[in-house]
Amino acid sequence: MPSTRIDVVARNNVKITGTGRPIVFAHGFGCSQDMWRFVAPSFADDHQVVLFDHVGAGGSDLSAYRPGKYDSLDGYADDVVEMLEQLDLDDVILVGHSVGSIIGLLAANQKPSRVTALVLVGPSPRYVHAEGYEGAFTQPDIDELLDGLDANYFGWSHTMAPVIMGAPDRPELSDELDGSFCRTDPAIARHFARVTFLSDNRDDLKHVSVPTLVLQNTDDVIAPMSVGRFVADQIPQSELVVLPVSGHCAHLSAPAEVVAAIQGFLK
Amino acid sequence: MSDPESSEDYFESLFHGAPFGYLVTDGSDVVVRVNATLLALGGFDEHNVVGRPLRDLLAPGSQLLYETRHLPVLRLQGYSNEVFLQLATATGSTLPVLVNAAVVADGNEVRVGILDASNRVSYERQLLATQRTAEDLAARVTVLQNASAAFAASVTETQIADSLASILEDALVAPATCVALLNERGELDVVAGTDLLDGLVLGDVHLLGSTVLESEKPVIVGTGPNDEAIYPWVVAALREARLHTVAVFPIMSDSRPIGATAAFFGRARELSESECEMVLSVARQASQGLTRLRAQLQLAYAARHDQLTGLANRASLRASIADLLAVPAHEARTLAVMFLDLDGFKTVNDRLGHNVGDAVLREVASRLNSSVRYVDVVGRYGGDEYVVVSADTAGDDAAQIADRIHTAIGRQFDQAPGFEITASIGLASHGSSAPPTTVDDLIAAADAAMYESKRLGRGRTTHVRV
Repeated sequence: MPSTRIDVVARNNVKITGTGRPIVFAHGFGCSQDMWRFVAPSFADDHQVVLFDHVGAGGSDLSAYRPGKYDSLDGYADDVVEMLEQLDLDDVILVGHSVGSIIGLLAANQKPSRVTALVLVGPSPRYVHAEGYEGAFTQPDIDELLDGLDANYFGWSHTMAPVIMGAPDRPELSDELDGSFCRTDPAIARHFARVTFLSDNRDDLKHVSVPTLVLQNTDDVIAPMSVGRFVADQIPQSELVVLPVSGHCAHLSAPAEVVAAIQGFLK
Repeated sequence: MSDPESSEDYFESLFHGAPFGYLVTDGSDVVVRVNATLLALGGFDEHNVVGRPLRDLLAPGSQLLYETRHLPVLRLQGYSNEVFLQLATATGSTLPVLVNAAVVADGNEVRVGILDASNRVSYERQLLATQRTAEDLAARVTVLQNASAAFAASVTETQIADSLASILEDALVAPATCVALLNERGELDVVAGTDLLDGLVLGDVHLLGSTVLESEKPVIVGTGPNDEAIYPWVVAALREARLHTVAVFPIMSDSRPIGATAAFFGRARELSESECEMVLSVARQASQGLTRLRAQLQLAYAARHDQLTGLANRASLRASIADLLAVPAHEARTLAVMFLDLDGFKTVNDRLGHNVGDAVLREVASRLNSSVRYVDVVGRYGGDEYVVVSADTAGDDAAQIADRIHTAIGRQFDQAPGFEITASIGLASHGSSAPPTTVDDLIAAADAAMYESKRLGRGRTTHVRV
């Protein structure tokens, strides 16, 4: 056991509700654990629901950020493993979205003794095309994204522009946490984007040893159908479920379908 | 009569003629209505926009940000302001825009304002580019300054290597680095950091380390299309270690490589020319630090050693004795000091010359070294005088060492065939319970005993207790 015990709860802003078989939700690039707010509560009746923020996002401890450690997805996966161990979670269902699904997968490969089911929502092991692989993007596309990040604020600075359209229609959400959804440190977001969109974890898929659900949206430009099929083909015990959803964030745009698919998989 | 300002036509013209792009999507991002300003901005036809996801109007890189950042914030927060994106125009070019969006009607409608930001963006881009260049330069200067401070403050080779490893780790954002230096046998030893490839990069002379030392140029493995063919073992080891890229740089001293440093990356990492230059110049600074340290070590060595024989010199001998004496009484150790003067050496020097004389002195040094124990100190006191300091040795043990010396010196010298050389030894031993003594007293006693040996007929030992 390591002598210097890291406080994972503070580092990753871990939030736990409910009791039962643990279900851990890993968010993707661009947001925080906020992403799961339409999905996670549905599991709190019969599960111990664990939400957390990757270091750099949401309410995580920014001082824990070490550029070298987080220069690959393994650094993020190590955090998830530390979390499972320190919270002593067993028989875990690990649900990840987008890059969070790859981080979860790497954690499951490290600790198959603790993770017994994987749910990958919109996974992509590699975003850039490669020989024999359709990844959805070219290197110049990624460069354009990385360039564009500099011009965006990521919620840390208060926006000064007048809202040119009517008031938000969901005051119960916006009043509660005005301007603070999906908070991300801009410098860390730039590095995380680089790591996320320039990583290649295709080789890790075949080492997954736990039953895996791949949730694929019908019309997702970030993780298109061909990528979802590739992921499901490579992971030995996997099941591909296609949701009739447009976009990359089914857990936000079609949360009921996502919940139903996960519950169906767990039965 | 109706008020013309509230007529539908008027609002229609307000919508289409607004000085910014405006569109409405349904709850799943599909465009329902779009104003003429936006169509003009992008050069779009209305029927190509309405009925398609708004996302499709964006350049691919912006689609990534739109889907991963803008839409989640919009859905969670109800609005999303000042998101900077690139519109993919009908002509194939991109147009920088600022997007504000708000959810209305229970989430079934999203109203989106889109503002041409090309002027602002080109200005910001220039600012940003200038700022980036300045930041990069400043960062590089900081790295070099920190490096030079760290190397100057280092007093051991390990400290310099450790500093180099950690400076490169920070500067390259590498999960791990290591530093290896050439040893006396011309092999690389890892002296700092972690070699995540377990000896493969720097340890094995047939692999990357030697390639880098020979080419004197950085080698990066893991990003090139032919790497697998050129460095199959390295690529296999990278995979095994869950790494994607390793970059190895030579550490150059003047124009000679003295070691190599490696950085390991968990993903495919390209290193820019300026990054490589930075590493090479930090490595060069480290090698200057090493050169300085090695020169200091040489000076320190020279100050303690006799130039001709490589034995301890007089000052060093005295220091060794002083160290042994300078312990508390209850830790006092038995100590033997042998003062040795060659018999017959002057004749060799006079007849065969100083060069032969020097060769004999060196041979004596070597024979002394092989006659004493590993822990004993052998030194040259001056001319043809030598001193041996033996701790934890007294009486018979010391006499035995002296006997071995007599035998060793008594053997024929190939450097001076036919000349008889022997040693007169004065042995002063100091018991652990004897009253305290001094370096001067011990040496004077051994010296006097040596003269007694000379007087008694040379080639013998006279033993006194101090």
